[in-house]
Amino acid sequence: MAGVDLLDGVTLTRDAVSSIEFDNISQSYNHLWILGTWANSSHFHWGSSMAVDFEIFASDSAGTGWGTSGSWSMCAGGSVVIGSGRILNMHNSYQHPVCMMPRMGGVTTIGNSGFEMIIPNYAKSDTGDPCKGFHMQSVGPHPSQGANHHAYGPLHRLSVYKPQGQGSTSGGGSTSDSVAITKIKFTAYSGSFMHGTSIMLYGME
Amino acid sequence: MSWTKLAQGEVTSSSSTTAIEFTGFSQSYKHMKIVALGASESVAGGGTMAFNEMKITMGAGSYATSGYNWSYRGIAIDNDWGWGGGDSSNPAYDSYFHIQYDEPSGNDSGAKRAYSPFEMFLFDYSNANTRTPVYFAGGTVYSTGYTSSVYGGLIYCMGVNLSLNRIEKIKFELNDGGYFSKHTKISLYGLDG
Repeated sequence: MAGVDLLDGVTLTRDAVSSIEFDNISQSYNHLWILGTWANSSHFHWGSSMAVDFEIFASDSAGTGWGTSGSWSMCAGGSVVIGSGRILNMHNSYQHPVCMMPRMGGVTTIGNSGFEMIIPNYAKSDTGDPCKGFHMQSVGPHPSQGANHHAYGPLHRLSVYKPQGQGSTSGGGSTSDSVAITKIKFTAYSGSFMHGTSIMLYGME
Repeated sequence: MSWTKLAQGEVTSSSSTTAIEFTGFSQSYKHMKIVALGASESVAGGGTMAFNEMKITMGAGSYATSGYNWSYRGIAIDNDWGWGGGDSSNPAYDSYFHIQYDEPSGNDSGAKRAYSPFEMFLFDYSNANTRTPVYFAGGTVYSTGYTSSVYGGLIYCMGVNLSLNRIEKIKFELNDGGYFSKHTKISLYGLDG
């Protein structure tokens, strides 16, 4: 085991897929580190946003991830994506824009926005107010600047999940449920992921 | 390119960990990346705005007391902390504070926990002849139990060690008191250069 190992990766060439998931994630590391680019079949013009759902799962067989029950904080360099303010907190919702898709060279083609995500202490499974969360930052060209290469963002997102009985009115509480993350899933809110999408999953020793 | 884990601190029981300190880590790498989940009981503020602050200090032979210049951006919903999404800098800071806003439980009673995933870069940390820029990003979110009057925030910092020295030690403390709680894990990684 090196300090950082590539665990899995998806790079799309000709395929168009609605979701990308990594399951059976090794539990031998301390943190997950994800680096990737996005491209979407419905959002390859500048000026259109792309939304991606992100879910984490405590079980490979679970049908619904924690993305449906967590809370999110987001902020951006501008108001294009998240509304009138620079900060947006969301509750029980996980369909958020992650980037604006660029147009390259004035040609209608795919473009990419890049992102980084960390999921610290993902394999921890223990009692006593467990928690999981992630920090993500993404960047892409700004759609309203009248040019093709203006940087958009950065867009920061951070989420903390207190699933499985947490957040009760009595305070921290405890649970015997496992909260180790074994699967993560990215789903295009509309359209499909396509050529230009490449997501790599790394384990940090 | 290769990465190597330099050190790690983990809290396995919520007892009495008031500081997590790293000393004597390798100086054989170019850059350092830190990945962590911070957890603590919130002991400051109250109600929907309870939180704890995490103080981070660094140094060479000893911890810097006045050698840092931090520029930070903290953004919080409703601008409750007065930063308003704007920039500010405080050259007097000898450390900077990462605020772990609480995820309140729905009322003011009971123990509250503050959680925060965060990451850092210490650029060229082992170079004794340059200043060390530091990047920090983290924060937390508002309560799942609240649908109004919610609070959450993210903070982004760049700091520069004004002294010409390497970083040989780094310490994480809870500025408001209390303990780091279970599930806290902080890992340091070195990158070749």
